[in-house]
Amino acid sequence: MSLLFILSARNVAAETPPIKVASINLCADQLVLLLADKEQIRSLSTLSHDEAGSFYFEKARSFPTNDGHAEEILTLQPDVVIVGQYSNKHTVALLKEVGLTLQTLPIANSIEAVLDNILNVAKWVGHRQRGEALIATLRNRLLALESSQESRPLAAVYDPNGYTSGGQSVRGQIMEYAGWRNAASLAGIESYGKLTLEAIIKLQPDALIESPYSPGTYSRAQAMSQHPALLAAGLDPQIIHIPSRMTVCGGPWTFDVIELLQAERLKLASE
Amino acid sequence: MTLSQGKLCTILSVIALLLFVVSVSIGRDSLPLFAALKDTLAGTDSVYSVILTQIRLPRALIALVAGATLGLCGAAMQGLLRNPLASPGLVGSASGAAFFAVLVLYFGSNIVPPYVLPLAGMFGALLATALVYALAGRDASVTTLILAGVAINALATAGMSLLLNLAPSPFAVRELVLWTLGDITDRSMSDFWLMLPTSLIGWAMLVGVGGKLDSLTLGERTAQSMGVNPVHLRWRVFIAVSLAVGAAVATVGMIGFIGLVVPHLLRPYVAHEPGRLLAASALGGACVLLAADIGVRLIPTDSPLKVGVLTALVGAPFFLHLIVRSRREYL
Amino acid sequence: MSVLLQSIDVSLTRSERVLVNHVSMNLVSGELVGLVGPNGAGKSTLLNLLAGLVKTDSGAVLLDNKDINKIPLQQKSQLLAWVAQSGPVNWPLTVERIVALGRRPHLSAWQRLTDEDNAAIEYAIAATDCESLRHQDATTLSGGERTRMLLARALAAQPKVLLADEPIAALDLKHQLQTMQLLRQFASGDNACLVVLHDLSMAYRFCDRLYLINEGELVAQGMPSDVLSDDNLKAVYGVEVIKGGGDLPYIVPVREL
Repeated sequence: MSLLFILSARNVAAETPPIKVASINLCADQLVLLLADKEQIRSLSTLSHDEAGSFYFEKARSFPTNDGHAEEILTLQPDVVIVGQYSNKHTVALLKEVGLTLQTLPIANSIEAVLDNILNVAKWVGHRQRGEALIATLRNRLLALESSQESRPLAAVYDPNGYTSGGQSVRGQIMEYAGWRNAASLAGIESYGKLTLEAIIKLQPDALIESPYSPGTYSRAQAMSQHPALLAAGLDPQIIHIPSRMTVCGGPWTFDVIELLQAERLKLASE
Repeated sequence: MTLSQGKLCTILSVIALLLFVVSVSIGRDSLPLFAALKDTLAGTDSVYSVILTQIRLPRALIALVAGATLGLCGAAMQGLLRNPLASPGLVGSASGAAFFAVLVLYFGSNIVPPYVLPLAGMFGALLATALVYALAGRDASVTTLILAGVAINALATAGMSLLLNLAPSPFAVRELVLWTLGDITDRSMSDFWLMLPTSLIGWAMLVGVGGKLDSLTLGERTAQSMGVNPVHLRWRVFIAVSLAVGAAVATVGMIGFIGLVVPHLLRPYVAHEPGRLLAASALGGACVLLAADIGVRLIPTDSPLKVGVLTALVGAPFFLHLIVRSRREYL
Repeated sequence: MSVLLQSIDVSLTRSERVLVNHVSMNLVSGELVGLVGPNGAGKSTLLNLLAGLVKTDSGAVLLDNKDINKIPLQQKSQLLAWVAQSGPVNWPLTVERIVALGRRPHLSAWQRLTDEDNAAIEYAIAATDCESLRHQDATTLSGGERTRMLLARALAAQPKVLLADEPIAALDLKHQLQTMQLLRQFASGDNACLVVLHDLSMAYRFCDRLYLINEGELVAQGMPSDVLSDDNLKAVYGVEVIKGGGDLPYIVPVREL
C-alpha cells in the first residue's frame, strides 16, 4: 500500500517518532491508557468513557473516541490499531485492506494471559521496558499474597443471568490466588457457564461474588441469596461486590481484586 | 397514479443515483469530497481517496446491489405466488445463508480468511433451496413449496438458536446476534466483488419473467394455456431468488421488510402489473436500502444503529398501515 | 376444411377414478362444436386434455396434426386459446390490460404492443361488449363481466382453435345471446371453437355438431337433433324434456325420471 509509504515517509522527519495508536476495543483502551504516552493516543473506543466498564474512564475522557468504524480510524492515520478478538470482522478486514497495521488483543482467560496482554500492548505502543517493569511488579504482588491457606472457603461468581466463571478464566484464577475454592469448578464448569440454584444449594458457598455491569440496579446476587430455597436450606452467603470496571477487562487492577478477595477471605475466617 | 414504465424507472434511477452520491458523501466526519475525487482521479493515494474508494464506495455499492436484490426478489416472489404478503425469505434461502454465516462465525471466526463468510452464506442459501426442492419435489404446488420453505426456515432458525445457546462466551453471543441484525458498515470492495457475480446471475435469471408473471395473474392454468410453463417458471424464480438473496444476506446479514414493503409501495404506480413491478421494485429496493444506510449514519445513537434494525423499525408499522388501508378499501 | 384438433382414444385416471375413458373426437375448421353432459361428466377435464394442459394417460391429442405435447408452448398458445370456467384474477389490473395479456403468445419478452396487436385487442373488447368496462379494476367485475373479459382475452390472441368452458353460464340473456353469436362468428373460415355448454337450447341452436359425454365416456355425437334425442337425454340426464321451436329450437326439462 503506497498510503503506508506516505505515512512512514512523513514520519522520517522526526527522530524516533512516537508510535501513534488507536484502539477500538475496551480492554485494549485500558492497556493503552496504562502503557502509552498521552501524545501517542489518537483515539479510544466509545466504551472507554463508560465508568461501568472502563477502569481508567476518567483518564480516558481526555481522549477522543471512535465507534469502531474503519473510516474514523483511517482519518486518524495511526501507526498501529489495536482491535479485540471479537471486533467487527468486516471492520478488521477492511482496515487491513486499506493497509493499516493491526494488532489483535485476545481475550485473557488466565492471569498469565493478562500479563501477556500487558507485554504485547507495551511492545505495540513501543514501551516494552515499561511493560516488563510493570509485569515484574505484578508478579511480586502475587508472591506477596498471604500464602497460609488453612481456611479455604467456597465462593461462586454470580453475574446477571446466572453467569459464573470456572477455573479457566481470569475471575476463576483470581479466586484461586485469593485462597477461595470455586463452586463453579465443583459444579463442573470450566470457563463460562451458568450456576443453577440447585448447584448453589448443594454446594453451599460461603460467598457470592457479583460484579454487575449496570450500576445502581437491583443486585441479582442479593436477590439470589434471598431465594426461599436458599433461606430454607439455611444458607446465607456473603455478597462480595466488585465494581464491574475491575472485572470486565484484565490489567493491574485485576491484582487489586485478588488482594481485595483475599482480605474478604481473611475477614470471613476471623469472624 | 400510474406512470409510464420509462418515466417511473427514470425517476427511481435518479433518486437511487442521488442517494448513492449522498451515501458516498456522508460519514461521521465530513469528507472533502472534491479533494477526495481529485485525488482518486489523479491516482494519488491520499487518506481521502482511500476513504472514498475503499470504505464509502463499497458500502454504497453493496447497499445498491443488496437493496435492488431484495426489491426485485420480493416483487418476483409476490408475482409468482400471486400474494402481496410473499417475501424473498419464503424460499428459505435467507435463513440458510444466515445459518451458514453464523456457523462460520461460530467455528472459524479467527481461523478462516474473511471471504469465507459470504461464500458460506451463499452456499447455505443454495443448500436451503436444494433442500426445499428435495422436500417438495419437482412438480410441487406452490403451497407445498411454501410449506417446505417454512420448514427449512424453521430448521435454520433452530440451528442458529443452538449455536447461540452453545456459544462459548457472552462476547461470542454478542457477535453472532449482531451479525444477524443486518449491517453494511465497513464492507470492502472485495466483499462487493464477491457478492456481485451471484447477484447478477440471480438478476439475469429474472430477466424476461415479467410477461410470464403477468400471464400468471389469470391463474396457473390459464397462464399455461398462454404459453407459460408453470413448473419451469417456479424453479427459475426460486433459484434466482436463492442466488441473489443468498449473496445479499451473506454479505449484509438479515435485512427485513424491503422485499415485502417496496413492491407493495410501488404496485399502484405500475398499474398493479407484476411484470412492470420487477424493474421498479429493484430500483425502489436500492433506494430504500441506500436511504436506510444513510439514516443509520445520521441518526445519533450511543451504539451505532444497524441498518436491518432500522428497516424493520420503519417497515413493520408501514406494513401495518398498508394492511389497514387495504382493509378500508375492500370494505 | 381441415381437422384442427382431435383426440385419439384419450383416457385419464386420477386417484383410481376414471375421469375420461377412451374418448376420440375432432374439431374441423369452420365448426362450432358443443360439448354437453351432466355435472361431473368430465367435460372440463376433457377440455383440459384437449388444450394440452393435462397430459393424457393413454391416447393422443393432435393440434394441427401434431402431438400437442410436442409443440413448443408459445407456438401452441398462438394456435389454441382456452377459457377457464371461472378463472381467477389475482391483481387489480384494468380490464384493458387483462385483454391485452391475450397478445402475450405473440410477443417476445421485450416486445411492445404493435398496431396489429392493438387492433386485435380493440376488436376483442368491442366483440365482447367490454368497452364500458375497459378502465375498470378487473377484480371488481361481476361473474358475467369477468367471463366476457376472459373471453375477450382469448379472442385477442387470435387463435385458430378456441376452447371455452361454460362461457355463458354466468351471463344474462342478452350477453348469452351475444356470446353465442360471437362464438358462431369466430368459428368460421380457418377457425374452430369447442364450447362446453349446459344450456341445451343454445347448444341445439348455435352448434354445428355436439358431443354428449357421461361419466367420462362419449355417449353420442353428431347433429344436435340426433345427439339431443329424447332417449339420449333420458339416459344421460335422467329427465323428460319438452322440445320445440323449429328454427329456434328450445329444450325445457319437465320432470325427473
